Formats: sequence, C-alpha cells, structure tokens
Amino acid sequence: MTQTVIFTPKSLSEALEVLNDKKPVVLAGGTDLLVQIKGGGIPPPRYIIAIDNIKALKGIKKNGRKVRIGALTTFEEILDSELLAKFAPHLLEASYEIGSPQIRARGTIGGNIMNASPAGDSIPPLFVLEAHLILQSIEGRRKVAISQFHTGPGKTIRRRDELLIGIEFEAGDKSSRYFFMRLGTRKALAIAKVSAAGMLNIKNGHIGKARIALGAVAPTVVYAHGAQDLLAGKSLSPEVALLVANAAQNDCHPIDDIRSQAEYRQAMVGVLVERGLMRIMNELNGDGQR
Amino acid sequence: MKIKFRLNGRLINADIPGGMRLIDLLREDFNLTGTREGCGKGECGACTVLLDGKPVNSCLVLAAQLKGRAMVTIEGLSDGDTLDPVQRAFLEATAVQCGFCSPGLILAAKSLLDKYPDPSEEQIKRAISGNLCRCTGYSKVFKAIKMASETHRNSK
Repeated sequence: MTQTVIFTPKSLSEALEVLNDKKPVVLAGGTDLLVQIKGGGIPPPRYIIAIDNIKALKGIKKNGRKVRIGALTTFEEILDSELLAKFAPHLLEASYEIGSPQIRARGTIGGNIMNASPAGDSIPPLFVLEAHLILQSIEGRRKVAISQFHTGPGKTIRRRDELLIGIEFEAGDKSSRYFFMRLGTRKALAIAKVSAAGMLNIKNGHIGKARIALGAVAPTVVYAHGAQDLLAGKSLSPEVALLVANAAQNDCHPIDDIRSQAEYRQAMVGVLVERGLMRIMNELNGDGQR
Repeated sequence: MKIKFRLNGRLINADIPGGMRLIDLLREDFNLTGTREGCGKGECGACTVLLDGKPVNSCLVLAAQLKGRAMVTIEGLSDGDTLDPVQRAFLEATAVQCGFCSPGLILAAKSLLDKYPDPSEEQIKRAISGNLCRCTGYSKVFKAIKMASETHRNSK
C-alpha cells in the first residue's frame, strides 16, 4: 500500500477528472475497502481516490416529494436525521444495526451500496422505497433504479469513470408503513445472515402498493415478488401475514456460507416477513385506539 | 504526500507515503503507542481515536485522509498530569485489567459523554459496542462511564 498514489479532491469536478484519467479505486468511509485490501481480497491499488472531503456529496434534502441522500452521508448522520426518521424510518432501523459507533461514524450509505454485498443493510430499505441512484461522470449524469444496479456479490453496472453521487426516492405519505428486520450472530459488528424490508400503502385497512425486499438470500438483494402480489388488495391479519411469509420463502435462493445455512435463511425469511407485517398491523391497531 | 492536520491540539505538517494507515502514522512516526492494533479490520476498537470528535478505527483510515482534520489520541486526553474525568473514573472503578483495550474504551466513552452528558444504560452499551475487552469484562467499564457522567453532572 505504500506505493499507492492517493488523490484527495475537494470538489466533485476535480474528482470526476481523476476518475476519468486514472480509473482509481474509490475510497469513501474505508470501512469495507481497507478491510478487503488488508485481507488480501483486493490487491493494493495503484491509485485510490479518497472522496470524503467533497462537501457536495454530503447531506439529506427534500425538494417537493423527492428526498435526496448524498452518497457520502454516514450512518451516524442518517440516524440523526429527522427528515429520514419521517420518510424512511426503516432506513434508520437498518442504520442502527450497522457495525459499531466507529463504523457508523465513517461508513457511508454510498459505500454500502457500492460494496454491493447481498447482505448490505441499507439496500433492502432502498429497494422498498424504489430508490434511484445518481451516477455522474465527466460525460454527464444517469439515474438507475437500485434494483437494476447490482449484478452479483461485489458487482454493479457502474462504469469506472462514474461516481455514485446520491440516492433519490419519492417521499411516502400517511398511508405508507415500513419495516426492516435482520438477524446476525450478535448485536454489534455482525454482518446480516438474513434481512427483510417492507413498505405497504394502507388506506382504510386495504393494502395498495406493497414492496418486500430480502437481503443475504440471493446473489443480490431481491424483491419478494410472490409475497408482494399476495399483499395487494388484502387487509392485514395474522393469517395473511403467515401466507405472505410463506410466499416470501419461495422468492429467495439462499446458499450455505461462512455466516449461515441455506435452510436456516429460508426459514428465517418467513419469520422476519411475518414479524414485520405483524408489527405494521399492531401499529395500525394502536393508532386506531388513540 | 504532504498533509497538515491537528494532533492532540498541535498543528502538524507531515510528509507521508500515500497508502499509509493512520494507526501506523501514530505508532511509528509519532510514537503514540497508546493506540493499539488488535484485529486491524475494524472489529475490536483497540485502535480507536477521536477524529473531529468522533470515535473512529485508526486502522481503517488512511493518513492521507487527515488533511485539515483534528485528531485526539489517548495521550491527548489528559492535561499534563491531570487526568480527564473519564480516565479518572476508569481508575476509580478499576475498569482495567491488562489495559490493551482501555485507550479505545476511554475514547469511545469520552465521545459519548461529549454528545450525551447524561446517557441512558442502552446508550452506554451501544457506545462501547465497538470495543472488545477479553479480560476485565464490561460491567466495571459500564460503572466507570456512569461515574464519569455523574461527576460531570455534579461539577456543573
């Protein structure tokens, strides 16, 4: 690593020039990249671009119905955001589970997405928000649906001259309900064995749009299409939650690996989805009583 | 490459190799060996330092990323021979056995108390969840942090 040349641009335009000329490895918070280099997973890069000084890539804003999260926003900043607590509470639940205080102070949402792990905790919440990623290069800008971005573990459709600059999603309304649940070996510093996120639009007790996303049970985060189809038009009840949970188990293709086993993961997908739906049902019943 | 930053209050100009890690800069170039390397991959917290007031793993930061930032290591916490209240509380509660993890735990606690002077039990547990101790255990550490927060409150 001592031979590595490090670029530390202060502006986005400067960073895009370097990306175009040198095709460097991008370093945001460093909490994945530096671990992978140390572990030998990636050879020491010739060029690294450390983007953590680019202020334009930080912060959370709402413009009309669009919420925009800068790619360099740390998980600690997400946890402190009142805007996201209102419009993406399940992203806060996911951020709460990530790493440790030290990791959350450095780790960024953009880095979590770019690391492209099927177990990345911020990804299922963004799936159910139908978020878009904004990629920029000196040639221009493009928006990609998060569900189209990852192609396998560690793999994305980003070109090497592009930088992920932000994440955008449409804010929900009073009818939107969310959950995120995950299982890990312990509370801190454990990568998810399995995770699930959900978003339901519920009006007068009836479910309109429903989105369920599953983590760590396929080569990328996936939608549980069968479960989503079952939810549409229904009312939440313990019976429906169980039916949908069973369907979600058939929407995933987990494997055995160092963290867990396929059979356990498949069973737990059902448990997490059922718990998530039951929590929403109880929240709604609680609201009704007030 | 040349970098300028603040280390324990002092302004530093340094010329460093590109890919150097922050922990190596501290231990090898500045002889600040209170910052320990346990796992080297962000899981044990023994290398915790405060970067712009926040606890970070110095094994997961490049020295190049220090540009324009302010850093505090365990050596910068005391004022000469006068210990910081958090350090004093760790001594009084005997929250130390071998001491390897203590600098990281103390700095993690310090940053918690700076943000939340009167933390809940859950906040204390979360604040030290990135710091592993393999001999004393956590109950005395927990007690020390509570003591430090009470000292802080009584001194106001």
